[in-house]
Amino acid sequence: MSDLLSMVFTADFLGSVIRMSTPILFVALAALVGRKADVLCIAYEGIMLFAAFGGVVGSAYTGTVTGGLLLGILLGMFLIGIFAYFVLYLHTRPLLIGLALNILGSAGTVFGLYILTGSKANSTRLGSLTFPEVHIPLIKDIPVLGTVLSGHNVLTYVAFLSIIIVQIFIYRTGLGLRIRSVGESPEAASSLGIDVNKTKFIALLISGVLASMGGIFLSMAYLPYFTRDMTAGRGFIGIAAESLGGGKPLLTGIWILIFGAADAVGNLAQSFRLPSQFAQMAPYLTTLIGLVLISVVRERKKVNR
Amino acid sequence: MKIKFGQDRVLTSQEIGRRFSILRTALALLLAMGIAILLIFLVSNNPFRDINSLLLGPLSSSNRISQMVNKWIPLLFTGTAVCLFFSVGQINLAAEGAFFAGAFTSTLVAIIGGIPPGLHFILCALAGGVAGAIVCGLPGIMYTKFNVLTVVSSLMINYVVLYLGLFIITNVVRDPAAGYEASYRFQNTARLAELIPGTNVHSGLIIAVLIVVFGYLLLHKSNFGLQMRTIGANSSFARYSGMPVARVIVLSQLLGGFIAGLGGTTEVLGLYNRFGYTGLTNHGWDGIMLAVLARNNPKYIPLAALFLAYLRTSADVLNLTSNVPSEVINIIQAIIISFIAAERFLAGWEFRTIVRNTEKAMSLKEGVANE
Amino acid sequence: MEALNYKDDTVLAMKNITKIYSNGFVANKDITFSVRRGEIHGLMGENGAGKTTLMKVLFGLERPEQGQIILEGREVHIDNPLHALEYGIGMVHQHFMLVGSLTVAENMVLGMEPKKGMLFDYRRAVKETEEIAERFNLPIDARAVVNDISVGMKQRLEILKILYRGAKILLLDEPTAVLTPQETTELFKQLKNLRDQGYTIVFISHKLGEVKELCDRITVLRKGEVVGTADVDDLTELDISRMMVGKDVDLNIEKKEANPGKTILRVRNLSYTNQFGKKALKDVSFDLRQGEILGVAGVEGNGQTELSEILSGLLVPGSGEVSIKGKSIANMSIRDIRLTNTSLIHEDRMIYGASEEQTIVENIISDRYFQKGYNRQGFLNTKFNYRETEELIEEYQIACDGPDATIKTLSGGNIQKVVAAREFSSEPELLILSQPTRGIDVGAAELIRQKMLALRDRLGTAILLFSADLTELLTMSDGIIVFFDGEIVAYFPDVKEIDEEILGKYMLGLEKQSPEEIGGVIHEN
Repeated sequence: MSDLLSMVFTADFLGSVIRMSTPILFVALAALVGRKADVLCIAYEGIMLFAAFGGVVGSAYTGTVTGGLLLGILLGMFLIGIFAYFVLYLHTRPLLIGLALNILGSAGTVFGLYILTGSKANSTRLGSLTFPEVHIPLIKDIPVLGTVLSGHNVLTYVAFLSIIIVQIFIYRTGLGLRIRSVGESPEAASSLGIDVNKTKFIALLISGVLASMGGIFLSMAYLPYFTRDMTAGRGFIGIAAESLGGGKPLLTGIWILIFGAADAVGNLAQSFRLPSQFAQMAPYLTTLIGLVLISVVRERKKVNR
Repeated sequence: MKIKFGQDRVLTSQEIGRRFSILRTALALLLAMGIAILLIFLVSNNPFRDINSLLLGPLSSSNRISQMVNKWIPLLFTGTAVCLFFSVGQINLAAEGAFFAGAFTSTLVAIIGGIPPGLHFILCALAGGVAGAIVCGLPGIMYTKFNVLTVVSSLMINYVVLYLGLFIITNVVRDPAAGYEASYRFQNTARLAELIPGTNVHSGLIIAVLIVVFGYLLLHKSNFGLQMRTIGANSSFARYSGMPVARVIVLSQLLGGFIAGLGGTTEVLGLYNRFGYTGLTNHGWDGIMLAVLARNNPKYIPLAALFLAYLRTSADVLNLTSNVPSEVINIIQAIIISFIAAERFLAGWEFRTIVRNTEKAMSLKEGVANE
Repeated sequence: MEALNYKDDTVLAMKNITKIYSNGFVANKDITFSVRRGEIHGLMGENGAGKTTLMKVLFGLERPEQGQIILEGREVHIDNPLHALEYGIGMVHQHFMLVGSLTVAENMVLGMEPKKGMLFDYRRAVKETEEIAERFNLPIDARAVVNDISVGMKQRLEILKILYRGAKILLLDEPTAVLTPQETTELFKQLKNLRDQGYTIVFISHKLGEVKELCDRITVLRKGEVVGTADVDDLTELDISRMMVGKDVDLNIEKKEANPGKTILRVRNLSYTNQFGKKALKDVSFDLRQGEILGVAGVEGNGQTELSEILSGLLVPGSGEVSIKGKSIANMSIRDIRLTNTSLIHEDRMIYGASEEQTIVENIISDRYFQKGYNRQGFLNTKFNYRETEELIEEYQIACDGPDATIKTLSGGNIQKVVAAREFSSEPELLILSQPTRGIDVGAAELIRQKMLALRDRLGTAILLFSADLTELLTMSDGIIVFFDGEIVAYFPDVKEIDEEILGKYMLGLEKQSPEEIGGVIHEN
């Protein structure tokens, strides 16, 4: 146990926290865009799976990483496009179509996996590609910080960069302005001629792209292949992180790192043959407790006015 | 405006709505089937055999039929439980965790020796039910006391329960003598007897049917059920009419959770002699689909559950006899849920029908007035 | 009354407009209405007279069954609000169409955002906002967040928004309903300014004094039809109100003298601060007696809603006491309050009064399902419930397909009849109702009022009536209290001695009675 603890406080571990946070970060950003447009999408599990699968297939068949990236994003957008259409135009409850698409994501990718590889377990037979790691010159040589900051997969850097990109998009572009207005006050937006459904649709597609990146990370960086149900609930954890962050970027970031840490500890514990279940449980338990704490704090703030 | 005019009856918009509901369901089923058949044709090396398996597999032998019935039983529990959750307006997804909790909690009681037969099962059932009640009740309390969205909390608690249960099974009651990760054997006094000798169908069936009946009577014939449905329809109205909203919400979650936990209990004690699950069993998620199909009315759960059990048995047959992955069944499930839940699916047709009926009614009225 | 001439300076004419809503309610009946260029034209009428509907037709929010719109001499078809703006017609709605978390400038340019490359050019948005504010002399802080600015500013922003988009004809729907007297004066100054610059303004209101002060001409609607059009200078306020109300002042109601008994509802020093820190109720005290209808008048937002919600148990007061039949309601749940033999009708019918997706039976028994007869040992007594519902349907003349019909299929008036049927049939000793006849057809309103009077006369029910319909208040009430800014500013024990104008003065805070006069509403200690 003390061995485990000592391992936690190493640069390696912090580095792995950042790595494990990557897919959660992508999903949290996706959920953020969705929140701004006032649409709750719970289908990120399915979308990530489709994207992960697409990445593997695309890179295997085109021989390029870009091919994988494109196909992955395309498949992810396809799935969230279905979600958007059903919710916005067919008036379907997001919970139900989200549930259906998560089922479709899991079953569809296993189905596709089987057709292309004959295996229902993983895609190693395909020989897909992975995204490279980036070793930042100068920084990588700094003693502790170097291990933490450098050497990550390029997609991890993209994820953290996306925080800034999404921030600029939402708050500094015309489309971002419209998304915020249709999310907050659709009547106001439509009275000025903005097509509310179309804007929400676009917002969801963008959200889908972000979530897809998370999925692609799983099958083309975290692991070099696709395995069934490889998202393991991260689609939900990302949503939980965003919801706990309550729209505040810093708080959201902290929750993401907490969950990433829980993920990383889980991995670590396994290598120590310790009951992994508690670490596996950690992200979910943390969310539950966090939800209660946040609402208690909110109530207290209201009373003290 | 309903006017009886011999054969030429005009329908109320409510009746039209109901008919379109049925039409939507039927079309969704047909569409899903169609896509499944298409996929089979694409993938299978023997499409006709496989389509036959899909459509008729579960009826191909008495063994298959008992398999189907055994798959049907747990769905009756979770379907009813989710009907209760949805009727009161709570999107509680924890039936999944409650089922699992019921399974491993009753295991703990089931492995204890020296308890007389009838009592033993009752104790297991109570343990499982209470465990399930806690699992589903917690999100309910978190909602009424802390305003936490039930969707998120129930989702999270499923995973907490899963890992907790796995921990207990693999570290506390794991039987090293078993060939795989499983608990000690259940005492025979705890297990459910065979219902129909010769088949594998266990007497959990009786409990399941009773639960469905109970669910229906509760929801549609009792005071409590009226309160539940009113809160689900408009909780502000329920509150203003004087109903104790928070209390009813929590109680109904506890009740639904108990039922789901009971489902987990009957499943393990009916089918197995050890607890061997390594993950969530999906019955809770299936329950959600069933509640949607059944429009939250327990009355329709048996039929919907039979349909799903049928599909799942087809999946088993496909798995064994075909190269088509049984995931095709899940794809069917996803399509069905999507189209049934899409309220505006066929909306244009429904609206035009209503308009035509209204016009007909108005002209008939004039006709009568002019006589 | 002047005949309508199509002079050369008629910029807009609506001819023979008829609009029937899907529930059969005729909102506009063959209305012909024209506006001259550069005038402020008042469109007047009571609540439900058809003014808002007519403007919605003009603005493209509703499609008329019949009629034409003629703009600058050419017939136009207006399908949606954007269309209307293209034609130069802009509407400022009663409920603002603004995005609260965005700034003034962002709301201004929404939909036509200036761009700098890929990014939104906020600086230019601010500049254009400031320019247009200056051009029309309507100063506004372009960088302020809309949630933080005053109501008057929000309205100014709405006006600037449509001016920015090229509106030459401005439709303002009850703009002063949410303004303080000072803001109203400011608004009128700006509107006259705009008129002098050649803009045309249609001012929808039911407030006599304001219309007299602001408008050049007015058109009066009543029950969906045009009563007449005239120059404001040719009419007195009395003339106008007669046109608005017609000879129906007594609303076909025969009302007996009241015979008040002992105090049923006792409110002392009630205060309430809402979640935004505003003192919504300040030390309110009054008594309500058996057999008496006490009307509560006041512009919306002066504390009435908070009062009615505290009395019904939805809100907990900050301080003060409320007791019903001598018992304090301090720790009572809504169920407890109802069990004191009190009935409640909330102003938000579709949120608190009825359950849209449920059946009429289910709506009727929602407050009594647990009582003897309605249930047997926890199980619903369907036959009994059904029968009682059928009786109520007949007694209240509810047009429906039967007790199993869902509320959704009923018209507004019939829905309110279901609500009234439930709340009145419990034979209450205390009845608290808000806006009972808002937005419903005349027939339903009449029936509900008759039933209300029957309760007072037959059972001696104490009735607290909150209403924005001054005619209703003056007809139905025995006494009236007036709310302004969270306080009772007037008590009139005999409504025969007052009229709408007098009420209006107190409602707008222009006058306030002495504490002795207000104290008259306290009947026991």
